[in-house]
Amino acid sequence: MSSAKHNILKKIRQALATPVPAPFPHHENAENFFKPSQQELEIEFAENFTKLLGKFSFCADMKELSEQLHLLAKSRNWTKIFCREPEIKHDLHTNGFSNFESPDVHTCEASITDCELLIARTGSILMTTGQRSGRTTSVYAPVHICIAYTDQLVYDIKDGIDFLKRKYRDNIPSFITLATGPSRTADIEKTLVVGVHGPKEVFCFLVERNAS
Amino acid sequence: MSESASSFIVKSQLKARDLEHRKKINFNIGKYNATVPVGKEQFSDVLLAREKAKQVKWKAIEHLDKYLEQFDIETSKRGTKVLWAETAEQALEHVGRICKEKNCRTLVKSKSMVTEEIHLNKFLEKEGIESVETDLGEYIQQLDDEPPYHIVTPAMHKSKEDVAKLFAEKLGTDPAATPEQLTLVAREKLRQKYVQAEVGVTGANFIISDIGGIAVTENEGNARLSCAWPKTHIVIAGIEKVLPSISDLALFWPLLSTFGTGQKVTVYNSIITGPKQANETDGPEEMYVILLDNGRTNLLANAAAREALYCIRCGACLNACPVYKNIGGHTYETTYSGPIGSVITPHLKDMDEYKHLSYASSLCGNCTEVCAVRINLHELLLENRRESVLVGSAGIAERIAWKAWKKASLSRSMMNMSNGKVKNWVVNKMFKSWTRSRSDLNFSQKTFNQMWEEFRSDL
Repeated sequence: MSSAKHNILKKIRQALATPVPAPFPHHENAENFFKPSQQELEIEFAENFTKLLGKFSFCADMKELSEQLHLLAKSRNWTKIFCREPEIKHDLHTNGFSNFESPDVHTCEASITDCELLIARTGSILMTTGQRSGRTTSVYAPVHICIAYTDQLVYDIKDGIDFLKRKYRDNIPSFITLATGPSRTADIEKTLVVGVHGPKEVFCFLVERNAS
Repeated sequence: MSESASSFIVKSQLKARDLEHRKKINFNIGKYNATVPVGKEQFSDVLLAREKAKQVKWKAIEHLDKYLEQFDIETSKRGTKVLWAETAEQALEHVGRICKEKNCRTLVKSKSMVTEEIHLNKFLEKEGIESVETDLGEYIQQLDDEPPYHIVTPAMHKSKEDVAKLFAEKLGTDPAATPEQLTLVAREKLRQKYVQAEVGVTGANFIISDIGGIAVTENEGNARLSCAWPKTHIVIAGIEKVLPSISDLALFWPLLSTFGTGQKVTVYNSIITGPKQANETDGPEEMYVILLDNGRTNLLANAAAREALYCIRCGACLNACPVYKNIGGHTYETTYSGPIGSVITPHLKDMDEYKHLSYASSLCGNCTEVCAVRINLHELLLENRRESVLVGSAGIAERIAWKAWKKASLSRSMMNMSNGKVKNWVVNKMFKSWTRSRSDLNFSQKTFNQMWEEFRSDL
């Protein structure tokens, strides 16, 4: 053990020999702090995500998703879209969308990723490095497009964390992020500016799917 | 009087009369005050949430040794190297050694108060390493060669015109640029830096024991980029940042966001448990976590003040403090300003040198009222005052005056001896330092005893 570690832990233990009483022991098991959902999770998510300037679209199936992506890319004149997820690429390709010309995230105009879950209460996208997109794809691209399925919706952050604990157990990915809308700052006179270091725009395409 | 105290008094007097400063701060804090209630709407019972949060932090701090060791074991399993530092110097030594090993020329840094505390940028400059602040507010402050004004909003004291002028001088941009344009300038400049830098440094809003991770809260994406591109990620965290479990974040993330900026949650809330793992596509090859004491164990050893370690640095007490709003963040000349800074600095550094900060309070209690984790801040300020007197750092004149005051106040006959005129003279003429920045006290012409007798006979 390093001497610094030894000394710090020793000081801590000496200090804690004098305990202080629990401030609110009766709240030890309190769990619900947030207002419950009043509507369907799809609507709850769409409303909260849109409020934070996220762009939401609902698709009945992969075919419709491919069509919508095609229209979006066309309207923006995108020729360089980056995607690292083989399954998404394959599914989109099968349905007629294969505009993935960008070799890397540095030069792309937009990136497409999947996600672990959507959190309806806060309008957030939960992503981890357990997925191929890794740490960089969803944050370095100027536009982030997330593809999610209706069976990936949960209400609260707590449900998201429980899901990750169940899914990964002792193998939690090295990076987890709860991303809520486009990158923003209010560092100059508390004036909201969107698109600082992360994406300027975030799209979420929610595709109908029944839990398999 | 300590050097810090004299400087503090001079600077506060100047700032309190600076109407331009007051206007900018009121504007910024006004915007904050307008958004916080919106963030609070997400809670079914915000008081319960705050009390629960205090209970969780109590548990974390009362078992700090256990949780730090658990963190160390868990994160080491994924290849993170945990380093311990008793002092700022030891922390800087660790950073210096890692940077040398990695041949670091450029280092990107996300916003972190603990790196301010150890003066990391100054150290790196001496080592010949370019340290780039990537948070927009910190970037502005770095360009202006000024420390952060506020723990959450570093450039709160600058108007958009001030920032445009600064960018024009330092970067040659249009002096009439809007906040949107200025933000874009910073974006373009910094995007190259993330990819260039050999090392990324972040702080940690929370240390998560059960999974061996650290959590970082931000809005801009600069912290995510700082721990995505560089090959080496260094985290510097105060040992008090511990939360027992990843599950605690479901409460602490929204709480920090609401009290920090009025958001439900900030844009990015990330957890990092290690460097890139074998099956992952990108991320740093190495990750270091430096656990810093630097006086925190003094605070821990003080059972009365220990709860100050529960602070999650949301900045709410700064925004709520009438003293902070008038004298501003820089006047404190400490890394942590406002009520929480006044509470912890004397313990982290030196009671005698910094006790004056505990008197920079009207004891209105608004800091306690707004604290996200219900720390009894104004009582801790009183506690500091008491301690500073106990250790004998009050002046002789002050001690004699209070002794006389106590004697007189405890004795009804002495209180009855003089009428209002005499009392006015004693207080207003003898205690000159009281009336220097306050109007004269005006005692009642009748003593309380006289009034009480009259009141009773009227019944």
